[in-house]
Amino acid sequence: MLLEKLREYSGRLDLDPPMYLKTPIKWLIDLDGRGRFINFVPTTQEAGSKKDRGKEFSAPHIGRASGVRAKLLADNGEYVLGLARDKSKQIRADECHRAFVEQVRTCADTTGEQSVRAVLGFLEHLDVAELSFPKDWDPAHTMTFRVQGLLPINLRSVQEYWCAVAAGDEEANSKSADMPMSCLICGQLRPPVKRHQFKIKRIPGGQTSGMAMISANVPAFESYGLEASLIAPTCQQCGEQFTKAANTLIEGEDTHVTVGPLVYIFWTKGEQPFSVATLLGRPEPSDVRALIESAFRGTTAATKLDGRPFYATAFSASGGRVVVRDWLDTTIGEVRRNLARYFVLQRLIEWDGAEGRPYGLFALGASTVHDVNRELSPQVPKALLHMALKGGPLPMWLLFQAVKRNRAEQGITRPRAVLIKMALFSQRPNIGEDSMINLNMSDQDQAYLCGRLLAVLEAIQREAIPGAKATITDRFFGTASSAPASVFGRLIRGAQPHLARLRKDRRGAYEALEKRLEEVQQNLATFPKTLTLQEQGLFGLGYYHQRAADRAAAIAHKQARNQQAD
Amino acid sequence: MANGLPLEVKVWGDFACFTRPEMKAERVSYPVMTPSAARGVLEAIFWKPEFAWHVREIWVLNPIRHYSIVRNEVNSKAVVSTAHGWAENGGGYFAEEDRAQRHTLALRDVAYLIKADIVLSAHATEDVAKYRDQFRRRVNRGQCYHRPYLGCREFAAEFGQPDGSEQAIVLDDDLGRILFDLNYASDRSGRGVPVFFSAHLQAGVLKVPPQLYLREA
Repeated sequence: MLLEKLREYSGRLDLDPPMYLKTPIKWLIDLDGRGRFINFVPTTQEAGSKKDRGKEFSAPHIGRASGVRAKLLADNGEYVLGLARDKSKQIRADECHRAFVEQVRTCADTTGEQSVRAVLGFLEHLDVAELSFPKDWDPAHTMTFRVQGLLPINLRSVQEYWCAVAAGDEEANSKSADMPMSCLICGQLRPPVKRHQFKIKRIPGGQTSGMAMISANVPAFESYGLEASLIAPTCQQCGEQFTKAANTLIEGEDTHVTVGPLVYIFWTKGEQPFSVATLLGRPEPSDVRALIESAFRGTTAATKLDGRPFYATAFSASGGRVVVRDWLDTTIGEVRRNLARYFVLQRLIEWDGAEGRPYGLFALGASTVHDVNRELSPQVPKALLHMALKGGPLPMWLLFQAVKRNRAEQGITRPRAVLIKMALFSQRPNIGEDSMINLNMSDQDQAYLCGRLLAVLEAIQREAIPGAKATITDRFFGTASSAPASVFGRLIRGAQPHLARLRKDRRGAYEALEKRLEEVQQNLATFPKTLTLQEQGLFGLGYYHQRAADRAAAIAHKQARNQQAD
Repeated sequence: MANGLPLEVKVWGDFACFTRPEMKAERVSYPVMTPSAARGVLEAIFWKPEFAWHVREIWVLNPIRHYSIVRNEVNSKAVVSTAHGWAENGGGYFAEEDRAQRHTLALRDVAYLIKADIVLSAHATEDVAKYRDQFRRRVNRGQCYHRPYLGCREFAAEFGQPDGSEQAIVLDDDLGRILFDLNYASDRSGRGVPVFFSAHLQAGVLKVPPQLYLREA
């Protein structure tokens, strides 16, 4: 299904011609119409840098491992001029060069193109000593020919010729060319490819040269006597198309999100009304607001597209293979509604009481671990993304991760508070528009009140001992959030001297804090012995809300005072 | 022949992986049970050389949920001759030295209702009713030749007589081309050519086109 949809998508793309691939080419060998050498021309301005592999051209491609297989008209110096690289043998370079010349000769004979003949003429009378090489020329670089200002690889007849040759070569290469199989993707009876020529690139942690999706490289992966890519017979054309489509999606700004070891790609049948990748990766508050509004109102322009299919998949790498981690097949309308819910659940005020901004997958996932590069399991962003696109609840283990992190860090950060809120409230099928965005004074939940109480006690300590190195939160957040009864008695007793000092020195602060303490305590009859996982989550939110409200009040107070002073 | 109602059996389990051949090294499951997996379950319960199973319908009873696991597996196959060699010359097999981490995108909490026919072979002399009754008795008693499984051996299946309350999920979906079965080579080598068909899930039911079985008969 996945491969089929990818191939379907490739039909909408402006792809390279068949058996052509975007390849960096560093040098153009300029020839005149009769094949006389003029010069080497670098394709990029700043020649000389070692990393520069040249400008990308759509050039003939063929997969090769260790054997000698020449590409048509564009290849490295060993093939094109027969000059060995530093570490390779001259005998091999000669062999490569012969194969290359042979390739050009058959092409010239078949197509009859004048420019290809010119290249052939140049190759037949080649004397390497006569060429004037630029300083930074290296046989490892890729080069192609330019005849009278035009690239023969761009000629239509050359492209058609290469498609026929390379695909035919592929058939000869496949062991069971005499036995066509029905292609897994298009369903037609065609010779299957034994090894895919095109690879999927840019998957985190994978080989830079790319990876194959279908490959049985050791006996345990084979079936019914079918080896390599024959375990799932695909024809050359389908194989090339789905791979190119996947690569285009992985490269596209709007179509992929990379989170840790996973890369997610998204596409739709037809145009995409919003960029899921941007929304999940780096959400802009304005885009999110527009999305939520359109989902709840259902504007006509939006609903027209709502029935269209929407696909998402996650890839990761395992050695030389592509791993499909996730696969989603839904509609644009569903995704829009679920995304809106995902962002509504994220609503939470900032530490200073300002309206909160939405987070990307990375920030939310990173809040559950200490070192995001080493510890973040792919399951975390996957669960978040699943909820964002498919709806439903977040798994409870995600709440556990967040609560565990709270305890380890003895505190809570805003991304983690958002995550806890999402995990708690996504369990309920219908969420109120503004539940738990802000401090809820009427919430009687004991765990929530305990969280608020800790924030108030901390505020008292901070006022009494400004600049204290370790606050009570730093020392007691973990215990207070899991077993309140064991610490709160002590903390309240400990706050008494602080209050006494404030009463003497700073009457105003004392009264405000005393009042806040009473407010929280009056609904808190006894302290619970232990709190469940959900309650520990609520505790964190209570603490966060109270602190944010305090901060907001303090800022408002300061502003009012400044205005009076003015 | 397919006279009267097809035979029914309900199978369910915690996990299932009906591996897609195109994603076999790093397994990805089809969203529903394939006809060949259903045949495997039926054959595990009852099989005789006198007949073949023709799967008619597969009802999907539970919502389709995916589940992903990574496991340590090995790169080699168990080969009889190699094992004989150990018996003679000592040695053995150490999985730690031959490991591959492989990912599986499996299914979670599955349940299916399989409807199938017993189709007699040319050499059969008994009435088909005999085998049908035998099958029903075996399902009732929970008898099987080997434990039926859901796509992979490690995902064991429970099975039983349907109680009539089974309802397929509400889902229409185009499943694309999925594996029907393998055309095994006649030389008993175990080699085979996979056969695919365009599958559709209509109101949670996967209907297997009967003409797929005609080739064999």
